[in-house]
Amino acid sequence: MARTGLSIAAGLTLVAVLTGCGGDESGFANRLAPAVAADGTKTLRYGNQTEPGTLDPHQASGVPAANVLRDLYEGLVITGADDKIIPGVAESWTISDDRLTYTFKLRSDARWSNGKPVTAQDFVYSLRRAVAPTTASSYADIHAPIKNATAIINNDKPPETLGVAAPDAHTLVIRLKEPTPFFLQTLTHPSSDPVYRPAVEQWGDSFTQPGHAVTNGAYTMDAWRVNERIRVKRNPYYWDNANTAIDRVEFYPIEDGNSELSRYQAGGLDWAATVPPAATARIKRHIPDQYHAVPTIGIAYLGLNMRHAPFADNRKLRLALSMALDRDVITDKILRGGQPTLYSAVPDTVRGYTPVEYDWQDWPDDKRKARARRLYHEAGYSAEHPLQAEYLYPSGGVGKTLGLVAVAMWREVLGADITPINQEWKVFLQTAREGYDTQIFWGGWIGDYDDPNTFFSIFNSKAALNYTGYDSPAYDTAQERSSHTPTGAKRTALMHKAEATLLHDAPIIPVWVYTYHQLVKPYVTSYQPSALGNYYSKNFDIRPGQDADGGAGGH
Amino acid sequence: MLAYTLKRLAGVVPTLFILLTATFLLVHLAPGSPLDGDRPMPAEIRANLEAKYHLDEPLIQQYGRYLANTAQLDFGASYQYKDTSVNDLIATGFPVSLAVGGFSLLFALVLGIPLGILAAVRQNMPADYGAMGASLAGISVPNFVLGPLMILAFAVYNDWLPAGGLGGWQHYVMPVIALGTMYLAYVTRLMRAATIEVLRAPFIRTARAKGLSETRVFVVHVLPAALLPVISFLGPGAAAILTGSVVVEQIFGIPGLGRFFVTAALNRDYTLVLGITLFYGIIIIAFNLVVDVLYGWLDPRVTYR
Amino acid sequence: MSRAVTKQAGGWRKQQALDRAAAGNSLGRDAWRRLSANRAAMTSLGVLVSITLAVIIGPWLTSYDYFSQDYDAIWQAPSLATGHWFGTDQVGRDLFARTLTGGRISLMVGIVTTLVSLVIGVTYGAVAGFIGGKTDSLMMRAVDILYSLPFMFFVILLVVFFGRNLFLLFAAIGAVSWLDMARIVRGQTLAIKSQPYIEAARMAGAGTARIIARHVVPNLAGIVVVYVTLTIPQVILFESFLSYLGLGVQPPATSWGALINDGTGEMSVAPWLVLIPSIFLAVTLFCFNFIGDGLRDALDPKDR
Repeated sequence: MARTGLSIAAGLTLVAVLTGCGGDESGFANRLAPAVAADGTKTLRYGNQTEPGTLDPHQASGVPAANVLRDLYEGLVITGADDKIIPGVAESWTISDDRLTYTFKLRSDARWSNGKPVTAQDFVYSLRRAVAPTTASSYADIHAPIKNATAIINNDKPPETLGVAAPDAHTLVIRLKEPTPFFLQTLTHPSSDPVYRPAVEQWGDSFTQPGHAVTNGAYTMDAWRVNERIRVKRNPYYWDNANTAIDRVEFYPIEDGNSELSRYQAGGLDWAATVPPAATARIKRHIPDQYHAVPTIGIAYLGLNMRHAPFADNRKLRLALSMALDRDVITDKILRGGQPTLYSAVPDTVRGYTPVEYDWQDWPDDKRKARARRLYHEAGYSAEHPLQAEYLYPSGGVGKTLGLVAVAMWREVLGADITPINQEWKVFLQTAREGYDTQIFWGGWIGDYDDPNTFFSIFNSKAALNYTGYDSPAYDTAQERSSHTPTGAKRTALMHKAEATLLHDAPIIPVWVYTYHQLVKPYVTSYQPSALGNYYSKNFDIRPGQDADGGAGGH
Repeated sequence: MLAYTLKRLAGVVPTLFILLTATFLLVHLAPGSPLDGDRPMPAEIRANLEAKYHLDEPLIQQYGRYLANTAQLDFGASYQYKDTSVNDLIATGFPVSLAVGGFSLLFALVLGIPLGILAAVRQNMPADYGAMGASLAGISVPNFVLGPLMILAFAVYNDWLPAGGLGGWQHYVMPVIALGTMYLAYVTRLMRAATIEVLRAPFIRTARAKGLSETRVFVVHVLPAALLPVISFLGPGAAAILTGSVVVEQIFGIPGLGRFFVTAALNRDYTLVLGITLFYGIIIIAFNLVVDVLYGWLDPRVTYR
Repeated sequence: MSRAVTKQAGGWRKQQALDRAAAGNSLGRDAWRRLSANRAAMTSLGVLVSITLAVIIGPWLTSYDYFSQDYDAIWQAPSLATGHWFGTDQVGRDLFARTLTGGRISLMVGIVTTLVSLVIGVTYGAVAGFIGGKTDSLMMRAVDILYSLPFMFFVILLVVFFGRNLFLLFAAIGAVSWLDMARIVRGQTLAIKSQPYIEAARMAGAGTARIIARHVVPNLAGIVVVYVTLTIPQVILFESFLSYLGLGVQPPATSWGALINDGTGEMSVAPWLVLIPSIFLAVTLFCFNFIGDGLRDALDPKDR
């Protein structure tokens, strides 16, 4: 067996490599080589997970596309420190007393990347385009608060009837259907961005390509090679160009977290957008200053299909499953990424709202488990007659890890017999959407805008995302009313009622708050965590020599 | 041989037609739609999207539309990469895969053929064991392990090579090794087995009996015949390696065709899947044709009747 | 074909027939005698039998099962003291139990699907190559088409129509892995079929099926054996991709391919997670190769 010796030798080499016999013991000695050219041109290299399907702000979806679009386009309002709404193209705005009319005053120095002024007409054109059925934007419904938007989406009215008007080049008036307390928040979404009409009309679908694209943000398209990188360059006509330090931003689509980490460690990236859970401990040990875990407005939950047995009409069973989960173990021992546990429908990361939470979140383990068992028995299940169900999750995601742990906990605490079933991503989406075959399923939701309504609305009986089939008139009423009530005690009360109803009925098992992880090199200055994940490259700078020793020292 | 080649070329169009039809059916029958995404949309918006992409039409009508476009060599717009046409995506992805795959193939052949021959002529001797052990080590470490391992060793713990992406020749070293080692194992093993067999074949004995020099026997008679299995393997093998390996492209962040294809399939990007499948089919057919012609040329025993 | 050659070939065939008559039922015994003289092959056989026994019996030797999680024993290194002889994974499951139970699936997948691909591929390739002409052309174009079809959709549809089970997994892997084999066998058959001994057999009145079975296939053994042994590890790893698509093994059950795949991501914290299943896979692969080579030598008609 001389040749097996070889594979053992190969194995030993592997061990040697892993334990670091190379030049760099930890692999974390900072390769502090920012991309600053001889002429002082600064490039920020950004790990961006997946390739954006499109950079048309009205058709794009997903975090990676939003990351690029934030640099390319500027809406009426944007977000600043602490994710507060601050002026974008609109330098100021007024809201009528009936809260139905928003009048925006556009800054006179806002320019497209070809030097042409950004006008109110551009916004009128763009918002109409965003809701037009011919555009078929999957985010069109985010504009539902605007007058006639829903009718336009439904093909009942022409796009020209949308409640937007431009009395003059620098005044934009938007009329709403009903008072909407979170309307300004929806305007920070990319689908509210302006697009340059002549470019859209000349180039059609390819108006986003370098050479075609005309943008109004701090940057404009420079190069785009699908699956390799998107490069944007400084827009010299941007109104705040003088204060923009970074000249170029490169967005690298790297799906695999370990590959991204390697690229970051090897000095090919200044910013990594994910951190593999397995690497967290080592990162925290070696480069704690570069590691940021920022809980965002997103929830990870398990959905229970309320349309069929065993979960239809069995609130106690649903609650028993929820109470049987030890969320601390899941977040501390399995995820290890600083994710907060979740005992409510809305995460507390949403600004200006304190969620209602399950009161048993602070109970001692034994008490919680005992109650879960009692509910399980009252629901009609026992050791002789255990619950048998399937947990459905999409391949290749965190749903698998969660499922394995949850299934084990349900078996241990309740004696329930749950079978994990994985499906390929698109098959899973279809199965979950149709809701015929699901029992327990993986659910995750990142809010569209910074308001509790982005969470409450998905459990409305009429909502497209309501895969649980939850149908509660009391909940629907409270949710719908809260979405039109001005911010204040009355709205908070309505939202608390909605949330309490939802938690009581337990169509979902909330588990943790989604958390963004970033690795940022110390020479990238002015980093501020954003719960919304809204990072604008124009706010950063690259200072070579900053923390050159790779040691401590803040930003 | 010319008549044979022409006959084969005439068969290309029907073959591609069957391939296209079967693929069209497969992708449209598979559950999940290109429109499904993280964020579900209201039924009205879904209807608008379906209308935009003609997905609301009967399948046969969509098929007709697709065939008409394909006949003009227009594979349409990608569902996933909406801003780019399928033709453009193939045109940017293929050269990258071709470069990585081509070098990997070269790596496998340049190392594998001599190693295989060496092992064969020194059968059951230390050289044989060494060559076979080395080639088997290559296949027993899967490339999704070898790739990250090399990155750790050469890019992270040591600053010798870039960890990924495109650029100068340094960017190709690790992907080519990761992709090439598997093919190296195939080439070496097949080469060894075939050489051993050919060395014993009657026509080689005849050649020797004719008093030809050992070198001449080897180069003129043994080598061409022994290459036959390697070439059979390389027909589809080369087509596969040149059109990209999703694993290696993912690990090293290379924008090749293999990655396009798998993401397209996962996203149910009908047009991109069909476009790449057809492209791949053309390459397969072309390579297999070349291989069949090579057979007759390399091995006098092969005739097409 | 010249008379002299025919005669010569006839002589060869006669010799073979004599051999067979003399050997009779001892053909198998003869091959076994040759095989057992091959030390590398016999050692490999021993190791392979041990691995097979280990995956069957092994899981009973440890007090841990393959699915129980222990959140206080996450990423523990291999140790005799804890009883986690191969260490634990990211949810504290015992890698010893997981590697061995996973081995059941992997060995089964590797052997069964390779046999499927062997039977289909050799038959198909030999028939196409031997008959030649239009038949060959049609059969090979069918292979081209199957080769180019996006296999993923085929798998996804299999799951939709038939649900998930091991049999389907074999069918799906077998369905693709025979294509290479068919092409290689066909190529070799083209080279063999004009050989004198085939002509001789034909003249002696043997039917096509008989010639293929008795004269073509045995002479392909060398290449076929080599290709089969190379197919096994590919198939074992391919299984993990199919499980990802929802076909085959579902967690918490596992396989070597899945273990290696999962382990890669945790290579820098818990190298044993990728190292141990990889060693099992590599040793198995080496064993199959030696046995393959030994078998080839033992069965080679030209050596006899």
